[in-house]
Amino acid sequence: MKQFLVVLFGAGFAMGQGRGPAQGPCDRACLEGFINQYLEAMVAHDAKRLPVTPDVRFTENDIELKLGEGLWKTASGLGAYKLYLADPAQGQVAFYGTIRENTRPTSIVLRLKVDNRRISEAESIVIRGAGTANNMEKAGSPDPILMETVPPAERLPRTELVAKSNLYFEAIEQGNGQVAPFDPNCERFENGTKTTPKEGCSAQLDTKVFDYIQKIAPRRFLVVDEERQVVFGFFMFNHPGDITWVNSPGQGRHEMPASAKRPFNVDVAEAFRIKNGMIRKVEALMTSLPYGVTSPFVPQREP
Amino acid sequence: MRLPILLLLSGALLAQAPADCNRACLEGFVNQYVDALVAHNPFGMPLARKVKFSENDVLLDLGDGVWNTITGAGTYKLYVADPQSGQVGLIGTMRENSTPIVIAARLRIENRKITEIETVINRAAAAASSLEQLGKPDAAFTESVPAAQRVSRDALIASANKYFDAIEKGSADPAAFDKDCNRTENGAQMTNSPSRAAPANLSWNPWALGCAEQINTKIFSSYQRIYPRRFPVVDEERQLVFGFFMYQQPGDVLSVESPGHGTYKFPDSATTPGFTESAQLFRIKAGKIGKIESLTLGIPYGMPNPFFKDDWRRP
Repeated sequence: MKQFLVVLFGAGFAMGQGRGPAQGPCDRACLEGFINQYLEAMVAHDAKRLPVTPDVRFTENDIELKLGEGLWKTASGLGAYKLYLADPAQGQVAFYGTIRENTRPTSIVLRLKVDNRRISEAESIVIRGAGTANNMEKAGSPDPILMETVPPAERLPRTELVAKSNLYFEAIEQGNGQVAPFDPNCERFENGTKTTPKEGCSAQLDTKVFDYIQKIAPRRFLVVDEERQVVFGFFMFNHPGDITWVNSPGQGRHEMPASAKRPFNVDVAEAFRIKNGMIRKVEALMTSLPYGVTSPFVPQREP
Repeated sequence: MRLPILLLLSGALLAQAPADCNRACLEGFVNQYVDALVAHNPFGMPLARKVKFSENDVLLDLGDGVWNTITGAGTYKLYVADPQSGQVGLIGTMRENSTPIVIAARLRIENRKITEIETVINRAAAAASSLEQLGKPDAAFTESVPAAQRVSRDALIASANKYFDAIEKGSADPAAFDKDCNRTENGAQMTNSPSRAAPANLSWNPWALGCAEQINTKIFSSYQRIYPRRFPVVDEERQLVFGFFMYQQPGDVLSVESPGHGTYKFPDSATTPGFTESAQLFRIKAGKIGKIESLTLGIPYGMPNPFFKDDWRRP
């Protein structure tokens, strides 16, 4: 008993010491600094240089790995595209960027949770295949609408930002664009390519061509950048594969693509820019996964 | 004091259970399973109270996954029966929303009820069509071996296991290969097959080589470990071993010195982190590897198999 207390005391002391020079909240610059440190450590193949909590958790494409595994062994250089989203209130930060994997252009989405200036969670999606990374780098820089500071008077509180973003998934599940508050100029990019028609985000959903997406769950809203009015999270798109066609209003029978006629999941990292209370921009990076895969950050099924 | 009575009762119940499930019984379960898939109804099968079902290394509810998409049975069916362990394997073609696919399955039967269903599905069109073009499984997988020529269960597993040692070492030495050994992967013959196109930018053709020579070229050295190696189904009568094997590819080895061929630069697909789940069937001939048929599926790096409790990094 005595020993136990001593150990606890010692740990508290050590933690206090470690925290000493890093008191105060981790602001935007601090959070972005963690992303940069992480990427640099990864390219150096040296996870040990990162400040992490003892129970740090790391996932790549929804598989739990040890820091140092996966892309940590193959990353060979930094890329040119960098979009940071910061949530100082929650100590979380998200990043969309390009990197090099064994010299090949590759894209990464990275979410870090920072507790007392140490990384406690690192969640990543790696998009291999140069197409996405090339699209992103060709764009030059992220859409300014995702990076502009919104005057405080025009900002919505975080709960409302999340609620409005959530309606996007309701609209997809229901095949009804009216369900979500879409800005008339709303556009969506997926893996660096614009995937909304000139008719806009709302009208596209009304066609029901996305009805093969039967369930979007879990929906994890993890980073709310209040200053920029952007919500970021990971959203699991479940495709059972048994809706093979749909009656599209005004269009008639629409055959689903062959790729949608089989069970599969897609983990989508999605950023929503909410402007004037409406969804103005959706920026998504995603990867396909075996059907039924869930993020290790959500409770798992009992074996 | 109640405990012995309960034990006695359960003993009596066990004694009443049907006799062992032999080859015909096990194959019957596979046929029921295939019919149930086509009917989208698992619940007509004899099921234990709790059935553990996985598809592509993900645990799902029975009735989910391909249970919603299978539209017909195919024409290729290869069974592997193990009455001793009560398990049976299948490599077979099916139709998913009319598209040909291949499914590798393992069923565990206890007291004539299904307790486990493990499946790997390969959706490459070529895989299913190649297998169906064969008409029926290679005779090496279906012939009964005279009892005097058989090796033991443990010896069968040991022979198959050495195959993975050989791949890990990039040397055929640890394993014993029959001189006529051939390997088929996803329906395609990958050995002694000079008509198969060599990998790009290669002046020599690894697919023209036999089982042992091909391993000696070290072209499989991107798979740094094959683990877990699970050998659940052993068909002693036919001298077959069927199991699931996780090929681990960290992606950090870019090239290898291939004896007699100079530097072999791995293709891009071999220099990204990934796992390959391989359902693999071995025919052992007089203790040597005579024929291999496998069905493979690429899955995310580090993905655990739900029927394997330990860490894939160990031992």
